[in-house]
Amino acid sequence: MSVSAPLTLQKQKHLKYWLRCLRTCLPTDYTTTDLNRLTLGFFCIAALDLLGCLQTETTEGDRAGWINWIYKNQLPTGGFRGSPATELGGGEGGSEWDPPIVPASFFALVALVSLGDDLERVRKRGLLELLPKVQREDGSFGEWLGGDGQIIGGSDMRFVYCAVAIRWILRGREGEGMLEGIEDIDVEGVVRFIKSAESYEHGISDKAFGEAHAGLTYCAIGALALLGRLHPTSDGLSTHANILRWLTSRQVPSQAHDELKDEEYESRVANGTEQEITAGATITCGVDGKPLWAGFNGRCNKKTDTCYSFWVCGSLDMMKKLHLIDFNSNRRFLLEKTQHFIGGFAKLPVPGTPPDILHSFMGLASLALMREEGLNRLDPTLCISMQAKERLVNMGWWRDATV
Amino acid sequence: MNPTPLYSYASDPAWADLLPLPQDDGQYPLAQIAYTEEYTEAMSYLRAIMAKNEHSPRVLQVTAHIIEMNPAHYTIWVYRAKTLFALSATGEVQLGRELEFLNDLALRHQKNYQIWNHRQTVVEAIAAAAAPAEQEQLVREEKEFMNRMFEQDGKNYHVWSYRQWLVRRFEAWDGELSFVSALLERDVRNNSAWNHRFFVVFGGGGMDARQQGEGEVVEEVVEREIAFIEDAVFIAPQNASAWNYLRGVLKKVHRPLSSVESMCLGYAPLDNPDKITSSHALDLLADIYAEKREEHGKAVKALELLAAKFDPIRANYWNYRVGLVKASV
Repeated sequence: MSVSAPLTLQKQKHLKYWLRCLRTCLPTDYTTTDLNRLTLGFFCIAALDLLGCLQTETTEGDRAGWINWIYKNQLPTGGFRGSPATELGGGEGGSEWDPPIVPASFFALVALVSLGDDLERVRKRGLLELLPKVQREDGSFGEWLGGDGQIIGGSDMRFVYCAVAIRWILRGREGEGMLEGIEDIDVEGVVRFIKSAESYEHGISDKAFGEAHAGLTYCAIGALALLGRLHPTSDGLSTHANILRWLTSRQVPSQAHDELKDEEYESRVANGTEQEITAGATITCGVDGKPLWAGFNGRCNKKTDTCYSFWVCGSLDMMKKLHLIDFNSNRRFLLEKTQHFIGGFAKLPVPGTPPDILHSFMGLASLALMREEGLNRLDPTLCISMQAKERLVNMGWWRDATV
Repeated sequence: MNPTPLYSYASDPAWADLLPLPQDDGQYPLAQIAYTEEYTEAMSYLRAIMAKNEHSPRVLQVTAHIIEMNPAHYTIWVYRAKTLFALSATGEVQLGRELEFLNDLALRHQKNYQIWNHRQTVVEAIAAAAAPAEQEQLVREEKEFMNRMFEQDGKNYHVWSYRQWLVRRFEAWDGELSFVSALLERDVRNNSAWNHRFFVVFGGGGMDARQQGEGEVVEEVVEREIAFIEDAVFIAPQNASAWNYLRGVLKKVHRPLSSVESMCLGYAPLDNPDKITSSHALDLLADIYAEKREEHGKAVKALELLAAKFDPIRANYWNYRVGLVKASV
């Protein structure tokens, strides 16, 4: 089997894809993400930033317009709604059904920073005061606060990460704020919760006894990193050796049947002849004997998926161990198996899968961590470009906060 | 091109008193979506009724309608739950009907997580008002429905998470071990099922834990688990799930890794590399030999075999481990 030269990053096509996402309506299929429009908006902005095109391909007027739009979704009490879809015209008091959302508030902040905003208009006190109110006894966080003070949203490592990241951004590196007298979150509780969610496989799950999952593991490691607790002697993980085994095990060589659609996979692999099964399991190796393509899965014995190339690589990068994966085969998996010819990345290496915003960003982000030529470098912890993070930590109020 | 919706709130007298609240996307909106007219109209009426904080039967209508189009709308679920409970308190609504609504939705929206969160709230409310026998019936039906979900996807994270909650909440441990054994018989690589097995055996409150009181696991249970793993590994030596479970069990009961050395050598005879059938056995042997200084040579050999031949995609990682072994002298 002849293997052609590896594809390169189709930068112009990605640029076009992202500009289209920013400037025209997303297809109706995105209706199921309607309540997460600040999240989608962040991905669009941050992707252009990674491509190094945010300043050149958009005008100052565009960026100021987007910044204003994000602030339009800030609530009078502090924090951001996830989408204009929940705006009820509640006035200063707000409305029970138009609450600030923890993940949306995180994505709003990082989108603003990426756009060059100085966060001066962020109602910092209100947002910081929300955080301890949405933290539970067990250290975990909810997604928002109900009208009766009830913490809403499943126990979920994603909310833990977002809450801790908001705190880091608004209070400064040491967690000792310029904003005096604001109740802090229970940091030890967070660490305890993360520890309790480490499974017997030594990945992190949603809660004690849940299944280890790479996305949740990223959130847990990110939260520990932002709390300054990601080092072998004081962190919430059993040992780094254990989690490194689990993380590096997520990289798996592409097999021929990975490219089959679900129904075909069922008929040929699950119920196929011995010959079909063997053919499906074929792995193509290069001259060095290593598999040519190897992306990442999110759980043991699951299929590879573009987003896990980021969740796993980001986790390893925060642990300063990204060099333990095989760069070449991850790069080829992304560029040759999921990069789409119209730009963007598809979720799965199945031909015909369209690109989508989440996976298109994650594909770029994974490549950026591996220092792909033509991309800006990515800060693995906040998931924004290193330039954007530099701007944040050099803002006057932020620097003062760390004194 | 969407066909004109058959139903419209604007022409329904039941909604005539409400002034729809349109969405204001403002200037320079990010991630604007091409909503259908149907979604746009329903959302305008939802906002209007939410702004009034009304909890009436028509709330169930508009929320069900929107959930069908966007099950990931998070505030709508809580609003619906509040309305359901208000109406159930006055006898206008039966909570059991909500589970039927959710069954149908969950089967069609496999990846959605809000559905399961809501289900937990509803089941909790039903159980609070139920006699013990009714609770048992409820749990039985919940398990039956989850089995239908698992037929479509045996690794659905939300369903497994929900199952753990249910089992714990209602002390419904009976039958879990045989349930999970049957799933593993069907697919020995189903890592979610292995994970559930760990929960059932070691998660506290289960049969196994109750036999010997707090904290300790009876010898018999450990032997049973190891025998189960041995069978699973025999069928599929390269199945990481079974090997990870083995490590998990040994750690939980404080047995040394070296207690399974001979089993590992069966799948990874270091002196006869041609006969090696499992990279995971090699990995375990490397850990076993790394513990004893005089056996470091064997640990390095296992790791080098992994890097060169049996798991080259992780060559960097195996070489890093070689470095750790050598540095530990």
